[in-house]
Amino acid sequence: MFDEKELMFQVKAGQLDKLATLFENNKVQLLNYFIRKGNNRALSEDLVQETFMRVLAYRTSFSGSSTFKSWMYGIARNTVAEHYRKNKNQALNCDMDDEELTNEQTLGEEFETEQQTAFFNKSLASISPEDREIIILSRFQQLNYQEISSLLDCNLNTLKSRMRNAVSKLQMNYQKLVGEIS
Amino acid sequence: MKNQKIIDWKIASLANNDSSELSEEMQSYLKGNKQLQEELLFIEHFWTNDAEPLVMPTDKLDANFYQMLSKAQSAQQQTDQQKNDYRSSPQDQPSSLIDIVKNWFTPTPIAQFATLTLVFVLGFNLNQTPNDERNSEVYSGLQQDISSLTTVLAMSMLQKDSASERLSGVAYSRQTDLSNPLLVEQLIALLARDKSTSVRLAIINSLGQLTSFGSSEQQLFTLLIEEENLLVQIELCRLLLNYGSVDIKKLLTEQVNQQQLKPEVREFIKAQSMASYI
Repeated sequence: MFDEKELMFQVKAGQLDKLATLFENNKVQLLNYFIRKGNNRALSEDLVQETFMRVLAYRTSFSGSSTFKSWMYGIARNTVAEHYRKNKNQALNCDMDDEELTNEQTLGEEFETEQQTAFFNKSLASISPEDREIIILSRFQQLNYQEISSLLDCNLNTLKSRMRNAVSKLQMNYQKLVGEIS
Repeated sequence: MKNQKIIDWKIASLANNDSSELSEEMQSYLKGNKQLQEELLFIEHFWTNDAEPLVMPTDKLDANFYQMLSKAQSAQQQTDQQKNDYRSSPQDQPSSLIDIVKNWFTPTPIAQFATLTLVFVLGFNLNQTPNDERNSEVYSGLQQDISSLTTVLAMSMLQKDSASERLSGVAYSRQTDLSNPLLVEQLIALLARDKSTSVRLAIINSLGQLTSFGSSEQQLFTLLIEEENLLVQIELCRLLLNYGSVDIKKLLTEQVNQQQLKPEVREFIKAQSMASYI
C-alpha cells in the first residue's frame, strides 16, 4: 500500500507524476463522496477534477500535519461549497430525492435489502448537510475521528457529540419513514 | 451519560476507531436498557448495511485529469528550462580569460581601438611640422590606414540589428571616400531592404559622395521605380538627378510622361529638370 503522505510530499517537491497514483487511489471514493452529498454524476466528476486541480495548485501548502485524505477532503469540501456559492440557484440533493419508495417493492423479499438501503439513503438526505457530512465522512469515506476532527477543525469530544446527534436524527427519520410505509 | 458513552463506543468500533471491549458494568447496563439496544441495532445496521455499489468514474474523468497533469508537467518543464537558460546565459556567467582574449580579436573592437589609436597618432603628427617628404609619406599612409579601418568598422556596424547602430555604420561610411566597392555594395543592399526609413535616407545621403555610380546606377534606378516609400523615392530621384550620368537623367526625365511613378514624384522630377535648365 502506498504511503499517501509520502507521495504528496513528492508531488510537493516537483514529482508531478506521483499525483496520478493519488488520483487513482482516491477518485472512486471522492466521486461517491460528491454523489452522496447530493450532486449528480456529471457535476460530481467535475468536482473531482476541480479538487485534484486544487491539490496540484496548492501542493506547496501541504504540511503533513494531517493525513493526505484529510487534507484532500478539506479541499473537496471547499470546492463544493464554492461551487454552490457561485451557482446559488442550483438545487442540492437532486439525486438523493429521486429514491422512490413504493409499497409494491416491499412485497417481494428480494427487495428487502434494497428497500432498507433506500430508507437509509432517504433518511440521510433528510438530515442537515452538516450532520450528513459527518456521517458520510465516517461511514462511507472511512475517515477516522482524528482525520474528521482535523478536517472540520473541531476537537475530538465535539466531534463525538456531533456524531451522536447526527446518528440520532438519522434514526428518527428512518423510523418515521418505516412507519409511513408500513 | 452511560447511554452516550455506549453509543460513542459503538460508532467508534464500527468505524474502526476503537477496538476495545465494552466494560462489564456497561454491558450489564446495556442488557437492562431495551431502547438503547434498539439504537445500537440501528447503528449497526446502518454501518454494516451493504450500501449500493460505488459509482465508478467515466473515462472522461480520467482523460481530463491526465490532460491536466500533462499540461502541468509541460509547464513545469518549460519553467525549469527557462531557469536553466537563465542560469547558463552568457550575460550572467563570468567571462573566461579565453573569451575575453577572443573578444579582443573580433573585428569591431579591434577596428574601434585601432581607429582611436591612429586618430591620436595622426593628430600628434599633424601638430608637428611635416616639412620633409618622409613625413608626408607617413601622413598619407596613416590616412589610408584610417580609411580602411573605418571601412571595416562601417561594414561591421551596417550588419547590426539595431537601427541606431546601422545609422552609426552609415555615418562611419561617410568618413571614408567610399572607394571600397564592397562597402558601396553593402550600402545599396541595405538601401533595398532596410526597414528603417532613417537608415535608408542616410544611405542615400551618403551615396552622394560617390564620384560615379558606375554599375550601381542602374540598380539605384530600379530601386527608385519599385520603391513604395514616397520620401525615399524622391530622395533617390534627387540623388540620381544631381549626381547621376546623363543617360540616367534622361531616363528619369522620360518617366515624367509615364504612369509608373507616383504623381508627386513626377512633379518633383519635372521641377528639378526645369530648375537645371534655368
